[in-house]
Amino acid sequence: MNILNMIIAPELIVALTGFVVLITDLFIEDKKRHILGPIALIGILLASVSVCNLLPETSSMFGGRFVFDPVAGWFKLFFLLGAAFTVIFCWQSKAREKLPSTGEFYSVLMFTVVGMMFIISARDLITLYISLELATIPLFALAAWRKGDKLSGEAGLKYVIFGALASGLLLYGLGLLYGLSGSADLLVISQTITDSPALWLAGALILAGIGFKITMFPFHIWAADVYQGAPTVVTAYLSVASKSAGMAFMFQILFGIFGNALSEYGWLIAALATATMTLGNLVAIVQNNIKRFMAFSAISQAGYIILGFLGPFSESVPSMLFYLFIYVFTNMAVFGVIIYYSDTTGKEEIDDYKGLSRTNPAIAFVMMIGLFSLAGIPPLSGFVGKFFLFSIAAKAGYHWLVAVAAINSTVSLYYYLRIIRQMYMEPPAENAKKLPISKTLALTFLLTTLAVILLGVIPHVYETIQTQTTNWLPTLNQLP
Amino acid sequence: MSFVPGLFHWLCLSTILFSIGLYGVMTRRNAVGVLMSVELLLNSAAMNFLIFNHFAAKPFIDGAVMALFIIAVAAAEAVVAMALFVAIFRSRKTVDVTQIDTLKG
Amino acid sequence: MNELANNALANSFAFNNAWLIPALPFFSFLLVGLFIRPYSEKLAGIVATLSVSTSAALSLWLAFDYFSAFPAGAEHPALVSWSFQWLRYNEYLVVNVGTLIDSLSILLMVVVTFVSSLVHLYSIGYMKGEDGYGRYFTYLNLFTFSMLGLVVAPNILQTYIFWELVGVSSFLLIGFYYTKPSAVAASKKAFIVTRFADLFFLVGILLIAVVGYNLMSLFGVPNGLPENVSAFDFAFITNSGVSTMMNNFGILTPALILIFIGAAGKSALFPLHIWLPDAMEGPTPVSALIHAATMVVAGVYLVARLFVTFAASESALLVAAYLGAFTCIFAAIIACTQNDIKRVLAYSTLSQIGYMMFALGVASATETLGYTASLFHLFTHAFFKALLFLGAGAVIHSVHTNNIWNMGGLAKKMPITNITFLIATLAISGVWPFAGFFSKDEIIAAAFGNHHYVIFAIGLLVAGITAFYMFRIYIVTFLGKARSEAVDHAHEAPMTMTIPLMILAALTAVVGFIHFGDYVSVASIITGDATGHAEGGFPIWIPALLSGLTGIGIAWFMYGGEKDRATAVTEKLGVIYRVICAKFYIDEIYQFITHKIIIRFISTPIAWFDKRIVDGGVDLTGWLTRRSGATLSHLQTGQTQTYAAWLINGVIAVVVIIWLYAS
Repeated sequence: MNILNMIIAPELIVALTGFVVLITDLFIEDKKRHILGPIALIGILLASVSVCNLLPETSSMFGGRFVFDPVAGWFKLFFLLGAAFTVIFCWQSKAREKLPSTGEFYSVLMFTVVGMMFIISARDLITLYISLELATIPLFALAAWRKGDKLSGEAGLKYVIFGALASGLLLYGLGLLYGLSGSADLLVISQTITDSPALWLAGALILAGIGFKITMFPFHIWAADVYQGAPTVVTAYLSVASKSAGMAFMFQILFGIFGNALSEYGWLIAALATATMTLGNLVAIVQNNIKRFMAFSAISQAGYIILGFLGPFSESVPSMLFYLFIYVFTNMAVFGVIIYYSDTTGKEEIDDYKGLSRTNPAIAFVMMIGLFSLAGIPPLSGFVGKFFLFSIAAKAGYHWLVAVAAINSTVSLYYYLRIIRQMYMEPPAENAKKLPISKTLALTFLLTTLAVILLGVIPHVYETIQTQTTNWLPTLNQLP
Repeated sequence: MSFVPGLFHWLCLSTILFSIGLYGVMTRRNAVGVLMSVELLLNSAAMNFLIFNHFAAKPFIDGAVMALFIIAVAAAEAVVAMALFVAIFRSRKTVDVTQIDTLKG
Repeated sequence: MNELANNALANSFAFNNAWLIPALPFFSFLLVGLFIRPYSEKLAGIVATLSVSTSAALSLWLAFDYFSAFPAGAEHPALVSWSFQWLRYNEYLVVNVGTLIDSLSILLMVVVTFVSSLVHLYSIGYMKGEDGYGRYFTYLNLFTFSMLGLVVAPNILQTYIFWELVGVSSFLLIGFYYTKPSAVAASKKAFIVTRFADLFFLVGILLIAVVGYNLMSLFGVPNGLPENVSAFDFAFITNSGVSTMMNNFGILTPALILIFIGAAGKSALFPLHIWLPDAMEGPTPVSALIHAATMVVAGVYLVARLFVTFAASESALLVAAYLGAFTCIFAAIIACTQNDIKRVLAYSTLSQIGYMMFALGVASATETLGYTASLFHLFTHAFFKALLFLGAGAVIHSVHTNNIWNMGGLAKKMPITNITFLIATLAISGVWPFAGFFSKDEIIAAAFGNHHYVIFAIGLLVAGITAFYMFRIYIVTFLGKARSEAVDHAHEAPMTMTIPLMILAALTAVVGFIHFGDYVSVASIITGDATGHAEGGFPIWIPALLSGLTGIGIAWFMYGGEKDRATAVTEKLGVIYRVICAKFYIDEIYQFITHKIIIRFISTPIAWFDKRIVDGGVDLTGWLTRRSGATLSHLQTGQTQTYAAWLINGVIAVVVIIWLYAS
């Protein structure tokens, strides 16, 4: 049997890469360690090729407990993309952002990716929970990767305690679901559960677990501290891949288990979305540290994404997937600049960005495009993504919510413009000079910027996602 | 006549465990204590799975398998957390969670 | 529809890949802007020029294929050769991006790519050694891309997006010399005035789209349109059934007038013309490209594109006709008094666009000669006006002044420039056999044929005035004695600059003979009989030519001889001359209106209100937002256990809320 055609091949490749990196790291000289980055990248690339190769088909393995379908394929691509960018940024960091023991870092990163990839393919509670933990526990270590650094340690401590607590609550909720239905199979659970107070408790507990992963109000509270304290590379990974993993988990729970009751609880999602985006935007205004600022920006973005759950399934799945896809590139473009700037200058306050357009116009441009896309300025991709999400809310009859979201976008424009003003209007510091940039990083910036622009102008990606995922929910409910 | 505890009694036990765990998470000042309370939460959830497996899903063993995995996950979590606490203790000379609040606002 | 012709087109490379025509300049914009510019400025110019020239070749190929499939005189259907869905709200409100191919868009594509590639070539010589040489070509590419995107748009929203992009890129180009305060001011003025007009345009689009959407949801898709038509599509808006229905609801005229205001802003019609003369602060090739051949005709193009709809509403067309005619004579009079060679050309552009606009205005659904004439004039004007600007650029390049009274006697020093400029001057004056003669004649005939006698008279008169002021600058610049030392050092421009001049001159001499009506006519959008050449009972060209010759004669009389007859005339005219010379004080009137009247009687009270109430409100909102942000940020205490409490209380809150909601 051709291993590349096995539906579990992408996971196997990534896990194998993790081990290869780990073992190479053991036997390699210090001087040659820089080749570990490319090794990890090749593994990710192979896994992505394998995912693309599998893409629009649906099939299952292990007696239906592991399923590859288009939605799973797209999610896996997002995780792999997020990991690829993280590896590149880590690999290209030379000074302040350089992480100790990068070999282990890459392999731990690979294992979290495997966990994330399993989340979206799982079809029973056990696999779902184990893969979620596999995607989460290594992140605690990643957040605290700088052992001597006080802030990094604090971020790790807060993350591990909050994460373990959230995981405990989630697990208790899953246990209740198991008890209510008598089965660990998601399909059986979705068909047997009935509305009852116990189910509400289970739902609320599981929501806490989801909310922790995607930074949804009121479970977002850990995010800012951890994002600020963690190494910036890890922050980028948390805000993109980990959040996508949370969305994957949310897909599994909301569509897989509560799919039929989803329309009745639209008001709850609307309320959570409103609170999340408003809180994220309001608090972002008063931030001065750019990583903390991006944490709140990411919280508000989570608020926009979950608007997608309001609509009919055939529109909500493609629009959320599309938004996540855009979000990977947009956020990685911005974080790439933040990492690069912090690496070369050692500064991470918003005011430190003043005059960047004079010294490094291209870098400032990448940052501006990224921020404008996050704010949803047409015709950048962020606008198109928001357009689809908002129109779902509008068609579902939540006109007030669209108004709130639009006001929120305006508020967000205000604080994104703060950075752009620093870069374009303020004169540079006196001793500022042109910062050097490596070719790889320049190419990465170019690709992300092009993606941010082109994904907005060329809608073929959305159409592809839409045609491939039209039949997702029916198949979700048919497989053994 | 010997008393045979039923579903209700077992669930009460697990709920009590869960509540103790929650209480501990919110009140213990030592990070290791907090971690132990989290372990209580996980164990009460594992117990839930066993209870439900026994009373609601008899011929299958999904719940029991889940309980085993939970023990493994809890161990992994403890390993990472303890390693972290050691590192923090080295840099701050304390693992009192109320003292560790540099990041805020 | 002609199946055979479709098959012929189906195999046409240029037709199937028409998207390349706008895309090539865009790719080159990215390539030049990102990669080439930092390494080699020289290469930047070459790549930019090559890409636009390739576009020009492709559009000629497309024109050839299209007109082979639908030969002269036949029906010219509008075909969408390539499109994709960009945004979709529901089945009737879909925004597509694509390329619309019909005779109108082909005409504009040919003009834009052709003039643009010549301007690119010319700029290689003209901009040599300037700071920001690479940046200049990047902008120029961006502009060309935007303009082409506008021209091929199959729906009005795409038009609008590119319309704005054209505005942005022209802003960048006008303000190219950003160290010069006057250039910065001019670029701002152009941007603000056109942006102000665009606001009306957008409201007009939304009005049409909303009403169109409601019509379709009520009555379904109108007959004869494909099922997947969207309310933004030109096919929908120009459908006669749709316009009749909109007219019955009474929204057609207001919507069209709003759209027309947008068109008037870009095409610099009175009273929104004030930005165009100032825009001459940009580099001269830019003036040739933007302010002669392409951007300023966007308004004419828009009205032509929506002509069928405009024809359904008499009053909207009348507005276009009279505003066009007024701009036509108003700008021509001002042009007679200006001494800056580029400003004269700018005012003459205004006046010629007035011609095009009133030609559209005097046409109607049945008498369509004006439509053809207007586009014919657009076509010929693009060549001779670009030629005039480029010629003026060559002169300025060599004598380093814009003032015609510092020139003189350049004919011997710059023979090629002299001859090409003379050809263009003859063309704009309407002298046989040059291009302007044919198109202007048709416009005047159209006005006469449709019984708009006032406009006919204006057209005839302006033909004379045009000849006068054009020969005035020609005579003063090229003939007579040298009037300053700079002229002594003047020399012919380099090859890269003279080649475009010669190509344009050759075209100016021949394009008039094209039997234009057979290719571009309303018949291509309305099914009906093709336009006959509506002769006005007697050969119109005789008075038109006479009027032009008279103008030339007067110019010769006043400026040609040794004696200074002009000063005597201006002294006699006295106050009138000064008023005209000051451009009828329009800028001052704006100044007065904005500063004196508005500020004193409207702004001061409003300012008070604004400061105390509105600003206070805005400040309060801002303050509240920041304050609440600051307050909320205190929730982030940094205490891990507080966070744990958040998590647990969050769960409890969700359960309670569900409970309350369920019971």
